Amino acid sequence: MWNAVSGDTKWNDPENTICISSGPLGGTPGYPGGGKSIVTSISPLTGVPIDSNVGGYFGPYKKFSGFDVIQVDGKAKTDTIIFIDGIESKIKIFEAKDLPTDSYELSDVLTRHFDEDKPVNVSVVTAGPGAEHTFFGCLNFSWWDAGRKRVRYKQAGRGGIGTVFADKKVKAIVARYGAISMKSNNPADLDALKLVTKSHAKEIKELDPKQNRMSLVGTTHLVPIMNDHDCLPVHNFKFGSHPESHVIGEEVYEHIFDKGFDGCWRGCTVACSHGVKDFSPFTGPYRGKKVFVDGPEYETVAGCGSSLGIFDAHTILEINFYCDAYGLDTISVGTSIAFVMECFENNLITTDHTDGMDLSFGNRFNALKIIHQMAKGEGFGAIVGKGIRNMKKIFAKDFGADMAFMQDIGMESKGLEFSEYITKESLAQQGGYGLALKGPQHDEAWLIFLDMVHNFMPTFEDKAEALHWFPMFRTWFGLCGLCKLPWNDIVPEDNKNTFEPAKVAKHLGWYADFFSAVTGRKSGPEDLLAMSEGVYNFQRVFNLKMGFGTREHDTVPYRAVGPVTVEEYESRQKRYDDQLKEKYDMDIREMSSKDKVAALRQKREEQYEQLKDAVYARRGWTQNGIPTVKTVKRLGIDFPEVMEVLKKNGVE
Amino acid sequence: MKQIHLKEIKAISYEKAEIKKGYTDQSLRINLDATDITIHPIEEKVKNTFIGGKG
Amino acid sequence: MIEVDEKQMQWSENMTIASLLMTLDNVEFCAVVRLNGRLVSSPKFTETPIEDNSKIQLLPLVAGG
Repeated sequence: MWNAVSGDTKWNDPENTICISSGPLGGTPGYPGGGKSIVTSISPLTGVPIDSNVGGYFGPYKKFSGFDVIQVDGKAKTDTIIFIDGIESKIKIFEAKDLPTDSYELSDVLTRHFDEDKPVNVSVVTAGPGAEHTFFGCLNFSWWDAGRKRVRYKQAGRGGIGTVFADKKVKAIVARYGAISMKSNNPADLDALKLVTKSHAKEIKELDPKQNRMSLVGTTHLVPIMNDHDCLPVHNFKFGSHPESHVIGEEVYEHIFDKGFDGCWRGCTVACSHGVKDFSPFTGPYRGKKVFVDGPEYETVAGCGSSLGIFDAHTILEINFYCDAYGLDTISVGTSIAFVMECFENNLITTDHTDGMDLSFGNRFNALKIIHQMAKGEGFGAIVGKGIRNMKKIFAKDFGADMAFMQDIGMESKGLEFSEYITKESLAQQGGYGLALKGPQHDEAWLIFLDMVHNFMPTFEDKAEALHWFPMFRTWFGLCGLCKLPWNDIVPEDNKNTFEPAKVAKHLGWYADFFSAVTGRKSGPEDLLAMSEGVYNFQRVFNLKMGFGTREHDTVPYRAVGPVTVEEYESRQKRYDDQLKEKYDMDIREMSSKDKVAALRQKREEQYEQLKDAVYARRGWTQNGIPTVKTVKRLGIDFPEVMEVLKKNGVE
Repeated sequence: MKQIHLKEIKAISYEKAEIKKGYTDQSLRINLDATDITIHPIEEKVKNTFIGGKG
Repeated sequence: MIEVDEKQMQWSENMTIASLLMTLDNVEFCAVVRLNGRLVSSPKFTETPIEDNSKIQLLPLVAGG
């Protein structure tokens, strides 16, 4: 992508490129999480590269068909389907007419079309109508569920890559490949590969039932856990818990999920990609019909449930279903609608602006109505579909809304909507979101518990160290074609006795063995980090190339840092009062809540800036957040074009 | 079952790369302006620096 | 008797999750337990009683999304 785009390339210029790659380890059957891909493009929301990690069978199939990476650029004149047939060794481009418009039906139709007899051979990448009308179109990556005899899909959700896809008039990319075995990657050491695969798979099978039980509940166990730790977004990230949250967590979903094997890659023993059979939506084009819903994951429950004040398991399923069918990122949809709801409740926008819709928190019918409008590009939904950054501008300019307040409550950074964790009490996670390359997506770092609950990183330097190590290591999974869940969502029984339990040393060792076994490059756990660091810094320089990538862009809205309003402050009054008194040595007896909000804000905003200083130093960046010459040289990414971008930005 | 109409506008046969230790060392590029399908080798240097890469 | 991570242990009256954890080693990273099938998180450890014949699993660490 670096070579294809210039610093001026916009997301909808023909030069913008969509790349799908699956890494050397991707496509290993039986290795937990062994089949993922990374999709990249310039994001319509941020203007810089977005990278999105996704399951399904496409990545491995296209690799075994002969390609480490697929690159799609330019724009077609009519709807196009790209077909990579790894069985016949043919690549075909088709003009497509009269295709089903939604991704749910389209994935099924194309799977059957391209291999009627053995649909398991086919994986389809599609966008949906949401991609044509919003900036947060996602991509659906399918696989054939042999047990249930139906198509399933996971999403490359963040950043609007589906929107780019649709803008290029690509309706689908299809890959077809046959039988896969451990030999398919032609590993350097097949026996070593079999051994480490068996070890990791077996451990997960034994321990998952005693730990998070992801093979039964997926990621819905996180709902009660986050709620009880005051980290579950409620009403646009105002609050961290709600008494009704128990109806939207694992307790309920465990019983609604359809029983059966739910791996998004073959033989994965985490098998957490659950769904609901025979679900009947009460709105929209599938109203009254029976559908299969893939999900929900925690992010969807929180983003499209609690954050919107919707505490109803059925509604969340319906939102999940339509977002998938329309090809919309549930995180951006949820966080955007939450913003709109708070604006509505504060009279920044009224029914005059919202097509008469009451958008108070909890109004589930209108939340669904907005989503249907997004798919059609109609009404108020079409405005919501532009994302929070654009909505703030529109609301201020056209509706006279208070920009300062919207900046505080609009949960976006770098133009991308936040994913679903309350970070007010975790400075490390504020950094985890604000200092992430792509925008506030938790795949780079998830440090809330280590920080807030276990106090594992008390100093700025500790936090900076974590904000170096974890993003680097988590990046590694994507680069290799792997899912990170088996690394630390299920851990060995003796893990707590190890030196740094958060790093899960035994699994680091296995991943190093896995890497060595396939690629033949002998590696230890330390080497894995070094591999990612070059890519990570290169991506930072890429952001710089596109006109961003500096300190000012690493800001976060104050709602992510502390209580914006008196209502929020008073909801956790004791906590905040204690902090002002004990941590900051203030005498608060004469202070009103409004004064206290302001005092706390000043302290917290200062802290966030200090965190930036510490993190930049640790990462080998300037105080303006730019990788130094020394750093890029050390990492072997001192290509002439990189040096030029640095020079242009005053770094020599 | 819904009938779909696909009109083939370009097709190539290719020689499938042999996978070595997790890599095919090939990238597939589809340019939609010209409806071009091209296959490029991936340099060793790129592979070593970027592992699997993000495109 | 209660069962803690598949080991039998003595139960005592007025036992809470917090008091149980105090008798165990190496539980710093335990922020969540499963008590008789239900997840209970650390802010509630002190106020959550453990009845006799309960089954408890200590969840190792919460790794998040």
